[in-house]
Amino acid sequence: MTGFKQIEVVDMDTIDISNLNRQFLFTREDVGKHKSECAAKAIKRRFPALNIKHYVGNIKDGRFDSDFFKSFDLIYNALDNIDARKHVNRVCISLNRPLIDGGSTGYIGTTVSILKDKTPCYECIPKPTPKQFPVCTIRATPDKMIHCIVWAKYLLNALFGDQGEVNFLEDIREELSEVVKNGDYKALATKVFTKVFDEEIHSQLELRNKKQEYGKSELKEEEIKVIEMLRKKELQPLDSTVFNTNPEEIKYEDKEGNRKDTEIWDISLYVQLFYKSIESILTKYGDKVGHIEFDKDDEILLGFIIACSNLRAYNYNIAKETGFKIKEMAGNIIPAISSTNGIVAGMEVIEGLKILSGQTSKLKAVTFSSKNADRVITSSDITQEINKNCQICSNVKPLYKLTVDEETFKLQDLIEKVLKKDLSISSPTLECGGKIFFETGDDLDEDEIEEYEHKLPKLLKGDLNVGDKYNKIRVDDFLQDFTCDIELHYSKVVNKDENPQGYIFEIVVEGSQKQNPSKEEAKIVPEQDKSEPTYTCVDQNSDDVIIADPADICQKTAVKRKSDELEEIDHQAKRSKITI
Amino acid sequence: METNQELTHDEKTIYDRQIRVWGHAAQEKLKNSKVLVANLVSGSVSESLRHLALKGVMIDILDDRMLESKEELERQMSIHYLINEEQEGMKISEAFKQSLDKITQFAKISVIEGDNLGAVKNLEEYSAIILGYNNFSETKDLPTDLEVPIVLAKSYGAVGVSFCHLGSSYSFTETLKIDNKDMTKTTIYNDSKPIKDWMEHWLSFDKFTPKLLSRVRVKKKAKEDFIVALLITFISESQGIDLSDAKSQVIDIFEKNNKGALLEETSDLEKYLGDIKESYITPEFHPVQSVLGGHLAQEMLKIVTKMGRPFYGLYLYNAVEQQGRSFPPTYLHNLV
Repeated sequence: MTGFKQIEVVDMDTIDISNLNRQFLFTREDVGKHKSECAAKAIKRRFPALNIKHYVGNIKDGRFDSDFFKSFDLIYNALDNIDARKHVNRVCISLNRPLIDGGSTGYIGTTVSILKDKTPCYECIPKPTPKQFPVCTIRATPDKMIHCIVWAKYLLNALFGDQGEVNFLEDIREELSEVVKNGDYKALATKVFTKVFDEEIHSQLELRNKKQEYGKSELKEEEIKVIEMLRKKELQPLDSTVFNTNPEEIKYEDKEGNRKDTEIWDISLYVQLFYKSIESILTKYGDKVGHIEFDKDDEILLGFIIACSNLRAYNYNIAKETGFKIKEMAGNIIPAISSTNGIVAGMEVIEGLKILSGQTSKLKAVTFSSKNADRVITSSDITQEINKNCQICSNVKPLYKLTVDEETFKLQDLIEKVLKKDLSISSPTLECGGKIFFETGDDLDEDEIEEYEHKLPKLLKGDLNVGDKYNKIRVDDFLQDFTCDIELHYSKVVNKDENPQGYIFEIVVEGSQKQNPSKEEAKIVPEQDKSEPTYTCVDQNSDDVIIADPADICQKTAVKRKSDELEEIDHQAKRSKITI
Repeated sequence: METNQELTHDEKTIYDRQIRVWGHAAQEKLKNSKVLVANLVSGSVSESLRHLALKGVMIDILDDRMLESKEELERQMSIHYLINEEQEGMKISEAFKQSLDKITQFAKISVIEGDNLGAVKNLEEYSAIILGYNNFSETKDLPTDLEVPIVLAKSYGAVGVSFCHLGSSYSFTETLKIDNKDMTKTTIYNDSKPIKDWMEHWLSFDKFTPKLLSRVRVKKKAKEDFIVALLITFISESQGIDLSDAKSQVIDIFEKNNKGALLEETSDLEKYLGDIKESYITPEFHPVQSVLGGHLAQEMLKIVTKMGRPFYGLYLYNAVEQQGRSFPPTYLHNLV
């Protein structure tokens, strides 16, 4: 509507029915199709003279290289995760291309512009750490519904998910894998139920009394902690035999057969749902059992989570929650409405016009929130706050220190966990002692690809001898124009319990100042004294991260940064090319 | 009055993400409430209309103007996203209904015949009215006994303006955090002055301008300069005089109050007047409409459900400064 003549859109996602309440370029017939394609078509219908092009794909793909980015005068981010935001930020900073980032959650929306040397970049201010829970809270002493939900997801993984994943319910996995294979759902459901909702609670009740019998000295410290926490709780074991697990009529469904997810049920109905879910999983998933991953839009799996988390909540005397709410917490759903998205889109276009007309001194970081009717839109000047120590937009070359367990740490751990997750690198090239030992990119030939694939599951020290002579690894990402050095240390003391990831990753800026490099480090630093073992628990899947409530986000935006809770923007233009 | 209809499973699925923002009760209230959208002369009104339809509220559209020629169609297409090139010859209200029916799933959209609010019977059956206007003086024709909350909207270049009047008595609930607990609080706004009187009051510029201007001097805040610039615009519209003449009226008042010298220092006033003046050349600046329209839809939602504190009085959005603020009716009044 403003008059942009050339727009290109990149998106990898498909349209879900829950998008239709706000993304007005899509209709019901479009559900399941690619967003970028449908959006481009709808815009083209309305503006036939507009030159609009779409791509289905991840913006981190190699085909969106520097030549691609260089061809734009303005780039809009409409992303929903930190990793991709960091990637686009780095590319835009390295190519000196203006980037406008924005997003919304509920009634709150934000917009911020990023211009090399004129404004701070996306990574000038460290991102907020996602909420994490100590393992022992999840495993033994939950006191909030979210703890029960996280636990329920681990249980789902332990019973039906991939064996390779880290899971503190390993004992359940081992004990029950045979029963799962048998496919007798009743036997399995009863076994699981009895073990986790009955026996385990009984044994906790015993543990609680143990302290009184033996006194402190004979117990391990962790046990004492657990006991002390348990003493504050009212524990209620559940005996499945008192419930009718196979009723004639399913009472938790309405007349049309839809689960009553907006209501809180009697505990007996959660027991029924538990049995029913296990039956459905075993009968409907067939070969997939053993590789099931939680998906909030899968009604059967969601049913399992709703049942398990409420049953566990009952065990620990925690208030029950509706299925509707549990879906939101388990699936990390960001509530979104069309009007906030429309507002963000409008503000982004305005900021974009300031950039194109050279009025960069007028750029603002803008926050919209209709909660406070008096001050609905607030802004602050962003041109003064560049972080001189930023690893991305300043010339500081970061040095990292990585301590790993030499007996277990593989090349794929280095790439997937440290580089891709901790450092948000998309296509790394690794060099040690002047020799490249790993590469990614579109220009590799098949032999090379095969060779590197082959190396991935090898041990970094034992098989690949990385770090034998030189302990510095040079990491390059040509797409992001990102370079850093990692000092590699092998150690046998990387305690798996303390560090579920199996490594310690730290940053050393300019040789002295230590900083928290990413969310990964935050979790491995115990809350209290280092000498005391503290379990921490972080889900592998970032989807498990819990969203702060809008009030928190408000505070975050007050420091002029969005967090990753921000949802997509429905003005659809992710990349705009402008010809005036 | 129709009986209250519950949400169907299908509606719960489509509206899932927004129900997570405002809850099932509010969504059900939206389903059973009707809003009147009248006089779609501003893109901010059509943006609000689009959002309200997507949110799932019943809507009546009142706008008898015809898309009679290709030129008129093109003009309307440059203002409204929802008007498209296949709609030549249609009534504006019907064109909007046609487009909205395509992008919404369950919203009940109807067309009302007539060319102004006076033609609408039973205004009381609406939960709220949203009204676009060409010229500020049109607001003088508003019914004085209107009890339904009404929102007026227009934008001037980089500036968006809206007025909201909630009727003589309006109550709403809001959730407040007190000692970390959610408490529901009910507030009642009592206001015996109809919107027309407020408008007249605001337009009786010379009564309170000296006071307002003295505050401008004290605070030297951009927002006050901005208000003065807007008041000049209102004066110019309502009296049918040039912006420059309206401005000299203000300067007169400045000088009468021995503030004339200070006016020269106020570069912001000139800047805002420039912004507003420019808007007469490009009356519809779409991103501003988008911000204002989105915001008004959100306020309408509060008004319809009576949940949350809506803005009340005057709302201003300045796209250059990226500031959006509302001022209660008494804000200007108290300056006198």
